Amino acid sequence: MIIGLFKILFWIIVLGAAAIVIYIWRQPKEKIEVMQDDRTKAKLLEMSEKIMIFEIEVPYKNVGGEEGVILDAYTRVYLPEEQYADLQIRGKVNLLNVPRGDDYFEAFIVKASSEGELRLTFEATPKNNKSMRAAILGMPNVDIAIILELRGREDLYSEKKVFTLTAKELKKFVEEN
Amino acid sequence: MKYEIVPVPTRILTEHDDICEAILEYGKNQIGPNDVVCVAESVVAITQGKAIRHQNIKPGIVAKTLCHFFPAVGSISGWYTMQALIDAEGTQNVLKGFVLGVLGKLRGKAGVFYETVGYQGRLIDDVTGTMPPYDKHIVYGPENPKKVAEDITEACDCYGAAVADVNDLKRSAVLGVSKGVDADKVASILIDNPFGNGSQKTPICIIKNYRKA
Repeated sequence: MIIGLFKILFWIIVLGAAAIVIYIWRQPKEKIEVMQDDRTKAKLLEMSEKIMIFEIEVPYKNVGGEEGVILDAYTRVYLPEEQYADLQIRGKVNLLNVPRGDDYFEAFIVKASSEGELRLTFEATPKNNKSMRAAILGMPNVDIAIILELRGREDLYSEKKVFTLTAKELKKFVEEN
Repeated sequence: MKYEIVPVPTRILTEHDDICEAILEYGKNQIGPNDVVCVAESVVAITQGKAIRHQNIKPGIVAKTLCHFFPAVGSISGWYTMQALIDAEGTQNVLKGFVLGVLGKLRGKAGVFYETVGYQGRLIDDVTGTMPPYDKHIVYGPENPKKVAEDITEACDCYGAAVADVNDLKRSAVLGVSKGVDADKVASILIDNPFGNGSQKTPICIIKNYRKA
């Protein structure tokens, strides 16, 4: 009799645990995608002999079924001195509709099925006594990474997406100005 | 009865600031003996070191399971905030709240979980709930708000003080008041959220002539 009750209790616990696991497994999750291939061309904001400022917009979308958070976003420019020493490019990431004067990225909730744009702003400065024109005209294509720190209900995770900024995009600015 | 409310902007206050010193630094000249000084609860919590980064929270199996049963838009729907709540209120208390909450829901009664779990269950804020640089933090409710209110009253030599949780959705709650101050009355005076959206930049409001009125 007691063994029978224990068996029933055991199976209630097992089935309850299984139901919870299935419920969590089937629960919608956030899925924030950065669509770097749909980025805009570089747009010139400012250019002088000392600095060129330009921006690129990159769309993102939450294709998941629940809201997620972009906790942080930043960019890395893969232009090492070994490859090209005459130009330094540094960048920052903001939300398109939340412009900021600093390099800070304000954490942001991305509702399910919503979308928006990240604005990447870059500053290019010539080095080694090169003029802006010479530095830009000599530059190669540059890979740029967008790195996002993300979270939904569960653990923090990072997404890193890379696109190529073509030299042609920046050369156009010095040729036109 | 219409009260004059004077908002007092400050720099962003951090865990390195003392709330009483900050009030004196920015609002001393505006505070009179009949006034009640009100402070936003999130800023009091931040100055108490109650803002925590994810990296300092280790979610356990209970947090990882329970959070899935709360709506995604709520503060405790994630691993980290649920664990923060468990760290503050205890695993047993949170589990008890969960079971009673489920039973309450079955009987059509909402809010039982929050009533059972207690103070931090109602106040804990997930990321994005606070202004930068605390937008990436999980922020608890302030510790001992009544004592904070008494300390402010003594430091400012005013009639009284209150620690309040107010938002733009006409939700106003007073967490702690000093002696002689009516919490419900202060809550109704603050209902239009004089702290504004960025309560970290205007964390202090003075209710002028509260005693005379």
